[in-house]
Amino acid sequence: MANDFSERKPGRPAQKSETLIRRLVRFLVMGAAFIVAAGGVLSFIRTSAVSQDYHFFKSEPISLRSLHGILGGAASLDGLNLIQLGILLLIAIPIIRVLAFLISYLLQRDWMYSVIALTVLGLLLFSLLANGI
Amino acid sequence: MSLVAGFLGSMTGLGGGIVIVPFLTLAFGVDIHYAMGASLVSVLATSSGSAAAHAKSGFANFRIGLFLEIAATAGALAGTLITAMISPGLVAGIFGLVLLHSAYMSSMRPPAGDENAVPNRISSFLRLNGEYHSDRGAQRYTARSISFGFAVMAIAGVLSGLLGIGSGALKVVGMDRIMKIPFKVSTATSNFMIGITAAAGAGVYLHKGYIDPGLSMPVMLGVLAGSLVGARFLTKVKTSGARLIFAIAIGLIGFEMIYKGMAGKF
Repeated sequence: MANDFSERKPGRPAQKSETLIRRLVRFLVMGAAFIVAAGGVLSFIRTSAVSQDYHFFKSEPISLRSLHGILGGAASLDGLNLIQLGILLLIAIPIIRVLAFLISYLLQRDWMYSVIALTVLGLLLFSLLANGI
Repeated sequence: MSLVAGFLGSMTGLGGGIVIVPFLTLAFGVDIHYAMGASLVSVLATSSGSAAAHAKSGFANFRIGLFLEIAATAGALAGTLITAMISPGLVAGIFGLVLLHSAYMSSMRPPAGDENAVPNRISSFLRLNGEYHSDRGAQRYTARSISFGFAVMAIAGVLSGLLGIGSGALKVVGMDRIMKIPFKVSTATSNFMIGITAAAGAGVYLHKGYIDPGLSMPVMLGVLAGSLVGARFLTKVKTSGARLIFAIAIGLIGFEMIYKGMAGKF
């Protein structure tokens, strides 16, 4: 990679971490895509409830929108739940990316940006985990 | 059908979100909340997909991105609150307005950043600077108008959470025009940022049941496929003729959404 944007050391450590992060992201993206595709195929095979009426909004069933429900359904290889799991993973990818930056800043003892990354991470986790809204 | 939408979305360079919601709601009569959920998924796919596909993303400045994302992510959370409280027709109307604005913006030439900007106190303190390699060698740059830029990002975030779009265009404008960050850096950083903002919105959308697997699956796979292929075509298609046609098309769709929103067809 040609460029490094860390002003502390224009050198190795930050570059390595950015390459690692990118590899991780690539892996996760492929994983998410695979899971979603697998879910799609499975739901076609089993034809559970694929032809749905999208014209009216009635909220998705609990099993498809809570973490607990998604994991449970995915374990039993229900196609739709598997897709949701893949989507969940897709949502997690930017979160993991920010987490990776946080760790990288902590290791570089860059306290200011550690706090910044932590703030963003906190907001993201709040969105994903807080059910109260 | 959603595969095509996703593919097209990642090729238009607007991040796809802005195209998918109108496409699904107007062409297929899908309820707007489901469309918003699928659209946000597409934004996630665009951001992470291009991050995974590109060999080098050397232009993105992650410090600027993370710092501005504080505003955008908070905005996104607020946006999701708003969208839950107002009527779908109003959401559609707002969407239409944003589309019109996008149409106006995309009919203009991409702006040039100021590469001779002098850092101010805040940007030095936060180290919001960097350099990149261009044909002319290493170019240094920095950011200005930080608070204004921060505010713009907050608005971009609210729109993202409210409408299920990526707001990539607004973020690029904020960084490029207002903060005087070079265009290439702005677009690359924006791609990084929209993924984070979308993740914040999507977490809430998921809990509210806006994200439907059957609808989201083809969109997601279509966008990922598109970002593998489309990124290469993208930079070559920017002739002013195509841009104008595109702007007109988006404008018309914007009007239609406003009309239908007000007529209570949502």
